[in-house]
Amino acid sequence: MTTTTVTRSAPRRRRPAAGAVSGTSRRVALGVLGAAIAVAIWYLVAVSGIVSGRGVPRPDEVLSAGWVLFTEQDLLFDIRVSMTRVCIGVTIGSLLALPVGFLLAWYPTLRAMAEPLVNFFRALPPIALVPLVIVYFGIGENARISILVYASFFAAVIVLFEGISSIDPLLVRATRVLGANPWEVFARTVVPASVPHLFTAVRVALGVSWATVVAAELVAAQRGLGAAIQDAATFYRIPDMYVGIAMIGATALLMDLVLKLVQSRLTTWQEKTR
Amino acid sequence: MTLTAEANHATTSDRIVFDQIGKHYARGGDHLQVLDQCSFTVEPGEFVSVIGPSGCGKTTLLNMAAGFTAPDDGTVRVGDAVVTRPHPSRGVVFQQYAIFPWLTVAKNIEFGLTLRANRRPRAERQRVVRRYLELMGLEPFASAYPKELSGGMRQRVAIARAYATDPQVLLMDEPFAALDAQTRERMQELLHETQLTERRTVLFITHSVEEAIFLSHRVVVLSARPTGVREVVDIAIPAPRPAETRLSPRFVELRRRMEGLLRSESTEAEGGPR
Repeated sequence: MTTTTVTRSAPRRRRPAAGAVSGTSRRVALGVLGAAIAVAIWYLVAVSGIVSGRGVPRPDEVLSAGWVLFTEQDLLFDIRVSMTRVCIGVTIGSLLALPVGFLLAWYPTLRAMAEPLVNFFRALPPIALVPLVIVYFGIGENARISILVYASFFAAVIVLFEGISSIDPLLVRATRVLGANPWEVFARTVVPASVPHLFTAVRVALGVSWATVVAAELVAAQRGLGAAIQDAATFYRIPDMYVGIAMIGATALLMDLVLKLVQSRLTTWQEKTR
Repeated sequence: MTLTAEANHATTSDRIVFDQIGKHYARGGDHLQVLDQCSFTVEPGEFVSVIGPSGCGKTTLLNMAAGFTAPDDGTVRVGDAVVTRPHPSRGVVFQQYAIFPWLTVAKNIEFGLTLRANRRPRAERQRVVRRYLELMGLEPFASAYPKELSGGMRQRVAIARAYATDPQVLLMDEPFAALDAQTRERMQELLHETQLTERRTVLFITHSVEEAIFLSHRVVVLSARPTGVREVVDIAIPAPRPAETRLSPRFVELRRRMEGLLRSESTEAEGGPR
């Protein structure tokens, strides 16, 4: 080497290369193929009559039942009711979990004291608390929301404090060396480093709350997806029950997708692990 | 590169003095003396490397100068003050880069100047950032995130960030150890050039004899545990040192001598010659 000039190459930005695009479309195609196979098996099971009693409705029966439910019985309203409940619950639960997560991650003593408790409450299925909640809050909207807040809080808090306490101590050290006071260490390093963990926490809370809201509505609610399924069951409208169940999955998928999109927008700096 | 006013940046207030340093650990009843009566001085504006057998406590010495660890015996002084905690007047470059992944290259370099301890007006910050982007050959990467950079480029960001807050002394803990051989040589040359114009007092930890000779005015060779100073070698090779310096007879001779010193230390550590 005879020169000490610094080489200046263009930044290695991640461009959507041809290979990457075909990779994405391939994944989508495979996903569609998997769903198609599942529907085909469902169809075969339905027409074969293996399932005794009232049998399994065919996919096309469920589809037309769905059409009727959406156009004539306003199933969308039920979905909206359930989603609203979940959004309120997750928002309150996560907002409460945020400061608690930071405190537990920051103070090992506090964490040692609280961790068994958090694990205990997290292990309780939220739906098991329904009778207790009815005793205290009655059967109104407050009762349902409070269960969701409970479910979201414990799901989120554990993800948060584990994520926050895994922040690289070297980054904290580097911040201090540059002259940061404790508040600046928190605001300028701990908080931004926690953002990915916050998203993970919200996604986990969303999953748990969604499962809980439907279960809660099955037991005690006038409207909402769970109530709609319960309603269909009362009148033996089996295809309608299938529509409701399919909507539980579809809505959950949609909410997670939206959250993922927001996350990738806000944390472009993050290294992709995949 | 022309010499600027910064060439005389170093003043007498930034002499680093290691005075009779001792450090020991109690490990399962065993008393392990790591450092014992270790004394040396880094003069203002001087580049001093510390080299020694692995596990001899090189990094511990740097951590003491940074204020991360306290010595059990003796004191570390910078200027007239005994080091007790991290301070922005002592910049640190870590082996694992420790740059902030959520900030762009330019924002990483600017970071220290936005903290209350050494806050500068925006115009001055931008001037400093531009200057170090240029010096480190990082201009094309100014708005890139660390994940888009190679290891060598990441370390340039870390070095630029350390210089940017204008510390009296710079402490570098094996900053090039994680890089491949070619990148490593290029980084040594870059750092040498930077020191020609941005002269600071530098304490440089390394396990590479070649690196120590190429960069330093003097090299402190440590002995095996309990570690003291085995010898301080004067590297009387005038600056600027181009890449070919590594092939000069003087360089090769120094290298042979220091490798011999180190070899005798590590065989002693393993229980004498075989």
